[in-house]
Amino acid sequence: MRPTWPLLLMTGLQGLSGGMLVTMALLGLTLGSHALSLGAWSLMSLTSLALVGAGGTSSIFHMHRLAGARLVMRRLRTSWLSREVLTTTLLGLATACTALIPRLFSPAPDWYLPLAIAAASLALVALFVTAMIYATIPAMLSWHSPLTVVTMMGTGLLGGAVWADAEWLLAGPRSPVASAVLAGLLRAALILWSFFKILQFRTFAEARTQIRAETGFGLSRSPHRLLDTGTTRAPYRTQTQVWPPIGRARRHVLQGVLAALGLALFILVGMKTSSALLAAAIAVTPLTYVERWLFFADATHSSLVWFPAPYAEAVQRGERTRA
Amino acid sequence: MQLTIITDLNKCVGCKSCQVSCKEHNTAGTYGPVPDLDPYGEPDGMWWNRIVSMEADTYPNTSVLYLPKACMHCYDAPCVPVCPTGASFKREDNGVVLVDYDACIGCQLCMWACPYGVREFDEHEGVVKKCTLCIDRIEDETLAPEDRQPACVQSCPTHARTFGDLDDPASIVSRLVAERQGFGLLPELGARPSVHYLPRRPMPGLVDEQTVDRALEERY
Ligand code: SF4
Ligand code: SF4
Ligand code: SF4
Repeated sequence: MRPTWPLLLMTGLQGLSGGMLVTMALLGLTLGSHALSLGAWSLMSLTSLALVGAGGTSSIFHMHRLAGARLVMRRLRTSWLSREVLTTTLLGLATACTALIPRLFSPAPDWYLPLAIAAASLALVALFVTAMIYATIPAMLSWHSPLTVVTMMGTGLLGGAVWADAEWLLAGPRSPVASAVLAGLLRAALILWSFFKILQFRTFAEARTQIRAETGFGLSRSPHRLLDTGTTRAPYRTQTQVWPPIGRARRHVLQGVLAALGLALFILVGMKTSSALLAAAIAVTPLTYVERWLFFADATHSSLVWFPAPYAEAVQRGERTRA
Repeated sequence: MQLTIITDLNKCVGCKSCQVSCKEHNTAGTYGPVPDLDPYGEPDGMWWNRIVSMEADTYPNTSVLYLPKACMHCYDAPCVPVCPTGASFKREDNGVVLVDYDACIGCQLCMWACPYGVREFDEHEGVVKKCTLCIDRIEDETLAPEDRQPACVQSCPTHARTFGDLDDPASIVSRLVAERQGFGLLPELGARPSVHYLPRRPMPGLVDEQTVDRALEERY
């Protein structure tokens, strides 16, 4: 299906922001709130606020008719998208409080850590709700799996943790023990994330073989050849979910890029210098976006049974008609 | 009540009269327009009813199937619960699934949720549109009774399409489905489509290539 930039930005930035908040809260819980300097708290919480703000702003561009926007929370009972609007708005407010308190009070008040923990819990809920939008659609054969929730939340948490790690060191010196423990934990998280990503790539591959001509056409005799999709042109402009599949070569190149970025990240987070950790934070950002682009572009929708891949690929190559 | 359309795949000849009459009526109808992106160049735009043509099996036993595909007005329509604004809804009185354009934000989540790919996005108005079962015709009391049916049903030259209430066991559509093993598409995805198709009758006995060559030699 066609990835759109507001969705890529919105889901990616929300994940990074949520991941930073969760990392901050975990650091505060395990090391005590005074282990982190006020500068470190400020830097992390301001970055988190900027990320969630930019993500929220980009989501506005995903709406094509703003006049209906006042109704977006009308279906809280059934729609994960309605719930996402609610949870991400609350997350934005909580992040704003977390970012403002260290600017207003010095030293930070006693209730700052409980506030950061509440914001982090909200971030986990918001990441879960966003992932459920995608995981609960049976027609999106590649996404209809718990792996969607695990990898989407995992990407955000991992990315946010790498950013928080870099900013903590940039804000001032810290104990070598803390650096070593954090590096080990990040490496373990990266290995776990890679394992679930590989499982997800298998799910995507299975989804490509799941669309059945028998049940899509009521036709038992095979092989089947599509002669005409209903008009001279397939509806790629009006139906984004049947956007031509990306093709094997492109998929493998992007999976290779993802693996290379993952390896670079694995090495960089272990180096424990501020420049290496800054490079890790830079590397985890394209990793997030290659992962997210593949998640959208490589997904298989059930209605592709009426727009089979050879036809779609011919369109993409420009041999048949313009997409 | 669940209004629906049953299509007999033995009778459909793929003439696309239903596809064109749908576009013609709905471009002028209450729920229109059904826009084209380049109407005076190469028409490439929205269709609420598409006739998919398919060839099956291998020579010399090939056959062609035409499948008119529009909104299935599903019993458990997955496009409805995902919609954040309530713009997509299923009418309780007659089971027709509709879009309220005034409430739609054009997020297109319903297009992903629909297993059949029958919702299309109007780039100009920024809303999602689809087959309304010609609700503006079937509820228009100023029309003659024979005109109060979907445009596609009325225009079908072979009477392949039948309109009626699937929840009424005595209706023609219910009887056709029950007696002729009517089936819905992609049942594994759980949308419970109300639109059904009547399966094609079994093919006559299979032939091999030599038999065809012999018959051609004898004949010519
Ligand atoms: S066919 Fe698609 S658009 Fe129509 S009711 Fe079913 S899910 Fe909704
Ligand atoms: S595009 Fe419109 S009808 Fe579809 S889910 Fe979004 S708001 Fe609802
Ligand atoms: S008008 Fe009737 S025969 Fe022609 S394509 Fe439609 S259903 Fe088939």
